[in-house]
Amino acid sequence: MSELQILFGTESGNSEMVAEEIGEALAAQDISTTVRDLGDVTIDSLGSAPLILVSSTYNEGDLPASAEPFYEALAAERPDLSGLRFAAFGLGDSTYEHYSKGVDTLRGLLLDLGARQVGDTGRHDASSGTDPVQTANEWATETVGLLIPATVK
Amino acid sequence: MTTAIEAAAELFPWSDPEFQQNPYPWYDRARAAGPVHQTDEHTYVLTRYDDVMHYAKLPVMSIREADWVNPNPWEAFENTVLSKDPPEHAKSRRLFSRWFTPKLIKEWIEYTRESTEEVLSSYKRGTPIDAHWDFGVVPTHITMARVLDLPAGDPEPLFWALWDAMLIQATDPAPGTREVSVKGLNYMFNRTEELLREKIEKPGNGLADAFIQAYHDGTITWREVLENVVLFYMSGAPNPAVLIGAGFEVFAQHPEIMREYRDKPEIRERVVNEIARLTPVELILTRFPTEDIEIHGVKIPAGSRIKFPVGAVNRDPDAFPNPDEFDYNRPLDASRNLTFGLGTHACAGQAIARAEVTEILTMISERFDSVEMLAEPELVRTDRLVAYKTLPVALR
Repeated sequence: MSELQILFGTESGNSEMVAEEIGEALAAQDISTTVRDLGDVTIDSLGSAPLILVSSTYNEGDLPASAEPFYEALAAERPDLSGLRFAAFGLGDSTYEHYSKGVDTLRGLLLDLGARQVGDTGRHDASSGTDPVQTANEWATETVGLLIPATVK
Repeated sequence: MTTAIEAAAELFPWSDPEFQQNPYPWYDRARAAGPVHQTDEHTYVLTRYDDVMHYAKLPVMSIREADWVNPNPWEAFENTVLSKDPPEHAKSRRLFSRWFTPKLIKEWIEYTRESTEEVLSSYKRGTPIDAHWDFGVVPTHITMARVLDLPAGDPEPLFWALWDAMLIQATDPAPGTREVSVKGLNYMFNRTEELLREKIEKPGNGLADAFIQAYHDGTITWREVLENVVLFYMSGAPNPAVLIGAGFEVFAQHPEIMREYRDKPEIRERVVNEIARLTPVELILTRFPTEDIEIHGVKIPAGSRIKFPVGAVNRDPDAFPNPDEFDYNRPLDASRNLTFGLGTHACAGQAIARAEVTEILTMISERFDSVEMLAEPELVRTDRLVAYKTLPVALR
């Protein structure tokens, strides 16, 4: 069993739903996860376990409400995250100019602070009419293999 | 000789009862005549799906009425999401957005199920029932009252107070409408204030309590508490009720859809979405561009009024082939419609409304074999809003 954290930034609960469903899907593969709202994550409690970041975008490319304090704390304190590996999934709507920018803003800061991203950033486009949970679970199942061996080393 | 503006105005006889009952032939003509019509000195109307889905959500499209517009009694909701543009809008919306997450809605829908169950427990198969009141209004009102943790009371006076209040939003309200509207608003505000006073004596753990807590924390004013709670308490039922009523009509007209709805849970969301497309409730979205904007060569000055008729968009044949046909198998990526609005001001209750409609229609389709209309439903309409008055059916 490996420990993996799933952190979500959400405005109206869709990223929360996706994060929890990814947790369920990975549990079915015997991968244990802890799911937390970024609004509850401090720099001290971030830890070094590999993480899956899930975030939506609000208004014109802004961060969702629950990701803002986390982003601001990281940007202000600039901790060294070079031991951290993460994968990222964004929820967005491609009919908006700043499609899925929220997750890119968070990703950009983590990379800037030395964290390493594995795999491609997953995305769900609300204008596709498809189920975000299904898209996210398929992405997570593919990506988790890249994330976990790194912790076993 | 008629001017171009007069000719365009004739494309949209907003106050004509015939237009209000079936605006679609007018919309077809207007769409064919052009994408943008100027209908008076300040007013422009967009008719096509692609244009509206793009332009209506641009940041320059303000919800705030331009200075030339007569003050409206709906300024009573000045301190809510209804009246605010970004970035202030986000602060208002974030007061309640985490109360309507997909996770919580699963809990709220249990209230819908329980209250629908209660209606059904006293219903005798095959006898007359008013689907609008008993399945459209009652369960959805009770659901919202439970979310707020306020007593449900009798939804009927609230329902009509909101209807009256909304009359003033018609394009050309009849003389005397302002007074009727103000009376409706006063009823809603007074009733809610009474309930809030009782709640302060006996606090609970609902959304109304959360607003009161935000007031005690100094985050919002008492006026904001009141406006927000009025907004939720009064709007839980009326709009979802139209979609639920339309669902009963679909089941009555298309028994095969009722069977498919029962047998294939995976199609339910799509059926509800198609009901919403064909049955818009709020019929015109209105915005005021804060900058000059040019759409298809028409220069629209800042401060103009732009109307986006929801029905014109939802039945644009370029977006929805055979647009008048009920077809829940439309391609997923082309199923988005304007019934719940879009952009910043997209309906905050959209997810709970869709879930309520889905749940109630599921219960009906699982318990009964058919829906029979016992009489023509009665509806009330302006060019801005529609509601059922009666929808007599028998469930067999």
